[in-house]
Amino acid sequence: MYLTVPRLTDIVKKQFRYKMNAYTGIFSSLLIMQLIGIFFGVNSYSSYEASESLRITDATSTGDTPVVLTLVWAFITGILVTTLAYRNDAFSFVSNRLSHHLSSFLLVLLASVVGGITAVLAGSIGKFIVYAQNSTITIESPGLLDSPFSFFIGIATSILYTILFAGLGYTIGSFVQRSKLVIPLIVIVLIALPALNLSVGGVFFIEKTIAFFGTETSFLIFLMKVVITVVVLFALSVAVTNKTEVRK
Amino acid sequence: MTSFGLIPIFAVVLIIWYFLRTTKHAKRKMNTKWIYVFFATYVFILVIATVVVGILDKKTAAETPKQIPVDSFYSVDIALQAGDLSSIDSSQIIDKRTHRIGDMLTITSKAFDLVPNVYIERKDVNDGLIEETIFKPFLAINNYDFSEQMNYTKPKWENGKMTLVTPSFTEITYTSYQEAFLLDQFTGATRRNFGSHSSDTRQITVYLRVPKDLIVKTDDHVSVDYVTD
Repeated sequence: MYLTVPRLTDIVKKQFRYKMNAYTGIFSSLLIMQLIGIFFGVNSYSSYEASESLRITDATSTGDTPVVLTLVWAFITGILVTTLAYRNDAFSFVSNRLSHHLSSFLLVLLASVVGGITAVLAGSIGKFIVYAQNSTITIESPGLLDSPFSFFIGIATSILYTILFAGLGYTIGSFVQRSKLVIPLIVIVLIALPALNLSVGGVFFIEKTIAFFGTETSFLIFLMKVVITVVVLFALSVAVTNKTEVRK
Repeated sequence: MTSFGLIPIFAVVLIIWYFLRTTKHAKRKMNTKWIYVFFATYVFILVIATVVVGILDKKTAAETPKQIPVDSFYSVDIALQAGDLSSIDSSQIIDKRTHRIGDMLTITSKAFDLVPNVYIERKDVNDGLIEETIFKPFLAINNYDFSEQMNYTKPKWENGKMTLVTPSFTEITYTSYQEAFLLDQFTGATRRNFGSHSSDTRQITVYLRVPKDLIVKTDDHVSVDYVTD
């Protein structure tokens, strides 16, 4: 019998606040990844002769790299928060496995939302550099004021993909914490199969998965797909780590 | 605009420099507060950059080349082949000239690259006059209209001889920005493959209305299309 019975929501809140203060590396690494993305996304020069009396020089910048590197960051962050060092931090408080998962998941979710938004905004720096150059400019995408709807739907898409990658990383991290034998399996599925272009049972799993999300044309259905997938991934993570040791 | 656009770039460089500096001097490791301050500054810069870029998009929209359908490349030529000058927009015309001519017209070319097209329509009368209409050159890069930037030289006329001349060298430098591929999934926007180029070009087109029985002689480098009813 105890004088106070801690509520799950209170514990999760406390742990979330603690993790927000302790895991600042998540945000500094996001910043660095996006700066690298901006750097590599700007000005891929190419020049070609259309004829003897005409030369065309094209410098293309793209917002792809900040977005792609943000997804990589989300995936790695998802894995990192499940590692032992992070997991042991949970025991600074009265907690259980569920509260630890919930607070970590909220942290990953918040970081993904921030990452998703800034990934899109980071493209503005690329655009700035394009505008700063003294040449004819073609902008092959609508801006915030030209098409606010496209801009915000782009941000929402970016957030959802970032959450998806972070969720995937979190689940893989949880599996790895359960058993290190999962690592070679992940390497086979994520690297060897695509690299060798192997097909499993006539169905190329990764290709199908990419098509499942990437070819969706309805935003609402895409949203549902991501939410359901992330909930399933989170449930899997909770289930798989339920019987791991409390502290090594 | 140029110096204004460099502000966020300097800010980003400053952030990178600070990070590198703090990594080098471990003693000065940033605390939680400073990381969030830096991150908030970064987000603030991004937001400002996004808004300013939005304004610049609107401001420079008039200066940037317009996207044109691929068919427009051929529309002038199709109309000229049919002798239908009236259907061609007057903005496509560079100049209209008339020249006195005897019994014979000689067309030669000093241009060996992007030689202008020549169309000849015979009039119903022998009035001793050639009516020359010169149409703009055309250049589309990745479906953007760069025609205004093409250099051209009008044909030179001398004693019943028209000479097509090589225009001065045209160098076009342009910068383009493409939004992240993933973000276009629900906007319906299409984009070209990164780094791919396509260009359609032709030099000026010369349309001549010549007297009914004029003899026309051309050298090997000149291609003449006769407009028939």
